[in-house]
Parts: sequence; structure tokens; C-alpha cells
Amino acid sequence: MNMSGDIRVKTDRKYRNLYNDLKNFAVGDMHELFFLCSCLGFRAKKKKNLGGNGEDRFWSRTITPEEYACYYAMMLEESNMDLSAIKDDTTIISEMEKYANAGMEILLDDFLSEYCSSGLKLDSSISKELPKALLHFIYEQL
Amino acid sequence: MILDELVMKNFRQFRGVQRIIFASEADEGGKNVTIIFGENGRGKTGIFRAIMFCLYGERCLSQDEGVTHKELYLVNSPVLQEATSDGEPVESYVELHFRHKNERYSLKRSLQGILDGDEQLEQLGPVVFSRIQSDGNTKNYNDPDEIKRIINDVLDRNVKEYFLFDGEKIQRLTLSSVEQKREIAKGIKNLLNIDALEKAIKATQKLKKTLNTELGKRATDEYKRVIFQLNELDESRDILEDQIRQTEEEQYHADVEKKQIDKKLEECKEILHLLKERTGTEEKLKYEEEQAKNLLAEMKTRTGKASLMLVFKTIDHVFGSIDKKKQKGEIPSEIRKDLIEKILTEKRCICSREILPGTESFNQIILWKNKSADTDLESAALDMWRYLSGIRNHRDDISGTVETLLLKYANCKNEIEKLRSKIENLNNQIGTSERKDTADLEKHRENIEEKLIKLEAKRINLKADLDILESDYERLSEQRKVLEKEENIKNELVQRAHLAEDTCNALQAVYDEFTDEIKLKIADEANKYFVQLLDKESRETLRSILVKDDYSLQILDRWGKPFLANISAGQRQIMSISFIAALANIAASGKILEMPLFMDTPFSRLSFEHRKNLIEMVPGFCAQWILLATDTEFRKQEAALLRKNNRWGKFYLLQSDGPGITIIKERVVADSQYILSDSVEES
Repeated sequence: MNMSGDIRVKTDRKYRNLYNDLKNFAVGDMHELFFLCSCLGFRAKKKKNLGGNGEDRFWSRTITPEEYACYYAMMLEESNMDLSAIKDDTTIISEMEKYANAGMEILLDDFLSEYCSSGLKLDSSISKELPKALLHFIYEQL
Repeated sequence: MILDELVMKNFRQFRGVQRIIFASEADEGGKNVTIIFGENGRGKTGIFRAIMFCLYGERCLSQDEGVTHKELYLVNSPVLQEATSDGEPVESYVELHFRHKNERYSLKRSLQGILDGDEQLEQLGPVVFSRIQSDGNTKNYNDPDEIKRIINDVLDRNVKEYFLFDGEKIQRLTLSSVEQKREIAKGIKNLLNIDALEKAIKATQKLKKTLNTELGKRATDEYKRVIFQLNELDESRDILEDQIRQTEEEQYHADVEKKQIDKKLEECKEILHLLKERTGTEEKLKYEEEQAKNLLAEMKTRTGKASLMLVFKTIDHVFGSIDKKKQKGEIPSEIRKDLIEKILTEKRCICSREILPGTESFNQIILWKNKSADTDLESAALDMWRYLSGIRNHRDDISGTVETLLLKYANCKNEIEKLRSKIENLNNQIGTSERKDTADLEKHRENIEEKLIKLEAKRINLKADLDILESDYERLSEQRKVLEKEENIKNELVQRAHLAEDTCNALQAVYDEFTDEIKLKIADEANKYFVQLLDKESRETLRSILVKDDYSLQILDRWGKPFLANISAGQRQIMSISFIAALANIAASGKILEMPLFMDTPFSRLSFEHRKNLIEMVPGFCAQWILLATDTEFRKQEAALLRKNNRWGKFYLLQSDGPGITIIKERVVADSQYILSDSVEES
């Protein structure tokens, strides 16, 4: 695995606040939230192009080998085990951005909406137990 | 002091002007007993309050614990209600006429009342005080401080409760606090003129110091040095004594504070265990909340790993697929892809055999080529396979950790809820915020105890320093005497200085002896009265009264052990009255002290035998006995006893004249047999 570290991973700019807020309240780092969203999108077999709305969110060097391995696995499964699907990390990350974009929509619809005060921003007053709720949400998806 | 007349206007229940003339020894036949009889609520305590208000300006009595000035109305409320319609304030006053040491006094204290909505407002008015001296001249006083001083000279407010008291509360004299004891000791010293002796000692000490200072200025050589050192020691002694006094004062205040805290703690005793439980529960809650916080922080770091669970299926699938290829030897490829491509391009095998397109061999090689991959890709796939294998190996750990964290957090929250609910229940049981301070009080008490220990150590050290100083002083005094003898110093100043010192020492010796003797005498006298007043059964249990250094009382049982804590309220009352009688007797040098014994609810706690003893004896040892009695304690039987000893001079009835209004009616003593009810004993 190349595990390229110099790729700027993008997310939809409308989720900028959400990514920042969730990093503060619920997850350890950006790459973990991105991984979660990618997994959600992949499970739902939903992709959503960022189009012109992509905004650099974090460097790919923060992605762990396990996460990278999963991204590769997702690419392989999607391509019916064609190894060429894991040839280029930029392509892999780009595909994962699409999954993560759709995954964030799922997260919002199924879970986060009740924690958002107005628009796409977390209400800090009700987000104290968000780590537990998020973990519980993941557990419920199984 | 002998009370002659009490006049009240619109005071408490007494509407309009009402008066009572008190019987006293000067009356015909020495009839010195006045009975003011009334049912509960008729205003007996109002009369007691009127006298205290008039003499000392006090609105509250000792039995009004917990009642504030504002809550206590002195102006008659029905009159005030009527006057409100006219918008006029109501005038109220108490006037007391009394005698003391052949002089007559008249004291009038007034106040005005007005209703402001539902609130009754009262404002103190002027105090009018006049004194008709023995030569017939009248002197009027306006200065409140001077009036206060004169009244205090007549009856020291520190001992007023020894002569004017509530019978149900008189036993409290035996339970008084440290502060009260000190005030009482001061009052008793005043009553017995011991304070005059203290003043004399202080004056001679001052004179001695002045003379020694003068002597120091005039003396020469060694004698001058000795005098100088003695004067210095005198100065140091003053400082040390002052420090000891200050330390004792601090000890006293700390002790008073400690007792006050003890009292508060005693009041909160029933909630102490609740407070301890609450503190324990609060600590547990704090711990659980901290645990919950830590769990949340840990959960935050687990989101990434937990997300792996979402793709476990994919991981398994891809891992299995790669693994299969690995097992088949497809990955890594047995022959490099570039070699196969070379064979196909050159159409010749590595063994030089020709392989033409369309042949079986060519087609097999094409198939082979398609199965093989780039070395980098294979390598990447194998890396991925290894990481996926690692994830799969920890699969149970990952999901297990998530489950455990969620379960732990749920338990923690459950425990927090339980603890919060428990604290809420405890708070409900504990009640008002004032009582919540108990824990702080206990801490404060510990601090005071530490302070007391330190103060006691300081006091002991100071006393030791004083002892050393006294011994130095004695040594130098001897040296001074030797020098005076050797150098034949006999001038007038020296003689005066010696005389002052001798006088001071003699007075101190007299003081010590006198106070010891007076305490013994008071105890002796008190015991005489005590034995006569006690009922037969009590006489068998109780041996004697002991007057302690601070003039507080102790009682010894038949085996000589302290027994005060075990005697009944009635026995305490008898003990207190015996002490008062003894005090009066000593103060009057064996005669009858010119002082009234004014008792509100005198007999309620007493057995009939105790009542009988009191009725038979008290008129004989006091100049004036005024009883505010109710129907349950003063009945035909008590009245018959009182009539029998022929000391009953005045009889007043307190009668209701509508709600909140009482009128005072004088009746002849003989009417008591028709007015009073039968006693339980008779029936």
C-alpha cells in the first residue's frame, strides 16, 4: 500500500462546521470522522460527487494503515476484486470522498439532526454525551 | 427595692389605665404577699413584662427565645384598631413607683403605637424618672444613661432575674451559659459589695507604683538600681498580667463560641447523620461523574476503530478473496508479468520453442498473463491483506470494547441518577439552608478546639513567666529591705511606699478570704433553705448545694457526688430559690433584704409539698412576694395555706373584657375561697 500522505482530503464545504464541531465533541480526529462517513456511504452503496463544493479538510498522512486498508478493500469489492482499483491513492481517496459525502448525509438524517441547533451546526448545550450517542449509533447499524 | 405601685395604660392586654398596688412589709401586719390571679392568656406575663420594660426598657423576656422585637407588640392591639379609623396614634405607658433605701422613686416609660396597613408600628417615647429623697426633695432625671445607672444601682440588671423571674424558667439559673455565669458573678459581687474591695485593691496598687517611681528618681547607687529593677518588674508584671487576662479573655470568648456552636449542633443533632450521608453521597456522585467524563473521553477516541465494524463484511470478503488467490499462488504471481509479455512479443519460450498466436500454448500464456498483476499492485494487495488480517484478529476486541464502554457508561449514568435522587431526598429531609451549615460548624468547632489548646498552652507559659517574675520580685524586695537597713534609709517616701505595699497585700488577702468565706456562707444559707423547702423524698436523695468559684451552683447527692444533671425541674426551682434567699440574706447581713421576689407561674412545676413549703417559708425571708399565678397552680388549698400564715395582703384578678382586653380587679383576700377552684388533691 502506498498510503500516500500528501493528498488533501476534501469534504463538502457545507459540512465545514460539522466536521469542526464533531472533532471537538465526538471524534478523535478529522480522518476518523471521514472514515466513519465513508463506511456509512459504502454500506449504503451511496456516493455523492463533491462537484465544485470540495474543500480541503485534512492531509491524507493522518489516515491510519487500517483505514487505508479498508479504503482499498472497499475499492476492491466495488471493482469486483480488480487489483487495478487500488493502483492510485488519489483515485481511491477521491472515491472515498464521494462515499463520505453521501455518508455524512446519512449521518445527518439518521442521527445528527437532533443535535444541530440551526443549519449544519452542533448545539453544544445538548452535545455533551455525543461520543456515547455516536458510538451507540454505529453499534445500532450492525 | 420595694415595689409600691404599677400603673399601665394600653399596655399589652390592659386597656385604658389600670393599676396594681403591691403589698409590702410596711403594710399593716407586715402583709407582704400579693397574688395576681388569672387564667392563661389573661396577661400575667404582661405584668411581668411591664415591670421589666419600665425598669430596663426591655421588650423581650428571657422566655421569649426566638421572638424578635418586631414580632412583639406592647401597645394594646384592640385600642390600636379602633384608633386607626381616626388616624391617631395610641399612647401607651408603664409607670412604676418603688422605694429603695428610704427614698421613693417614680419611673415612667412610654411608647406610641400606630397601624400601618397590617403592620403594627411602635415608637419608644420619653422616660420620666424622679427620686424623692429622704429629706423630701424631689430630683428629676432626663439623661437616659444616668437613669440606667441609678436603676442598676437599685437592682443590678445582671441579677434582676434572681428577684424578678418566671417560675418555670428560674431553674435555668442552674443551667446558665458561661457568659451568663460571668455576668451573674459580676452582679453578685456588686450586690455583696465585693466589687468595692476590688476597686480598693486597684487603687492601692496604683499608689504603690507611683510612690516607687518617685523613690526610684530620688534614690542613689545600689539602692537606686534595686528600686529601678523592682519598678521594671512591676511594669513587666502589669504586662504579663494583662497578657494573661487577654489570653483568658480569648479563651473565654472561644469557649462561649464553642458552646454556641455545640448548641447549634445539638439542635441539628437529628440531621447530623443525614449530613454525613449526604457528604458521602456527594463524594460518590463526584467520583461517578468523573468516571462518566473519562468514559466519554475514551469513547471519543474509539469512533475510528468502531467505524471498522461497519465494513467488517467487506473486510471479510476482500480478505477471503486475496487469501484464496494467495493460496492458489496467484498472488504473488509465480512468473513476473513482464516476462510473460516478453514471451508473447517474441513468440518464443525461454526454452527457444516457438509459440505462435492461435496455438494452444499461446492461448494458455494469454490466460496466464491475465491472471497475473503488477508487482506493485500485488504488493499493495498483500499489504492490505496483512492489515485486514490484523483487523480481523481484533474484531472481537473492537466490538467488545464498544459494548463494554456503552455498558459501563449506562451503569455509570444509572448510578449517577440514583445518587442524585438520594441527595435530593436527603436535602428534603435536611430542610432549610440554615441547617445545611452544620458541616461547616463542625469544622469551625474543631478550629476553636485547636485554638483553645494553643491558648491554654500560652496561658500556662505566661503564668510560669509570672511565677519567675514574682520570685525575682521577692528576692529584690528582700535585697531592698537589706539595703534600707544597711544604709539606714528611713525617709517618709520610703515609709509611704512600704505602707502602700502592705495595704495592697493586706487588701488582697482580705479579698481572697472574704470571697471564699462569702461563697461558703451563701452555700450554708442556701442549704438551710434548701432543706426546709425540699419535700421529704428529695431530702433523702440530695445532700447539699455547692457554690462554685463563678457563683454557679452544683448539687451533691447523698454520697457527695455532683448530681445537678439528674434532678427534676421542680428540684432545680427549689434549689434556685434557696440560693436567691441565701444571697438576699447575706447581702442584707442576716436581715431581710429590701428586695421583691416577683414570680411568674411560681408553682406549676412544683409538687404540693414543695408548694406548701414555699408558701409557709418565703414570706418570712423576703421583704415582698409577688405571685402571678394561674388557676392550675393556685387553688383553694394553696390559698388556704397562704391565708393561714397571715402574710397575704393584696389579691387581684385578671378578667377578660372582650377579645384581647383584660381588666384588673382588686378583691379582698377572703374572697379567694369563693373565687378559686378546688384542687385536685382535695377532690
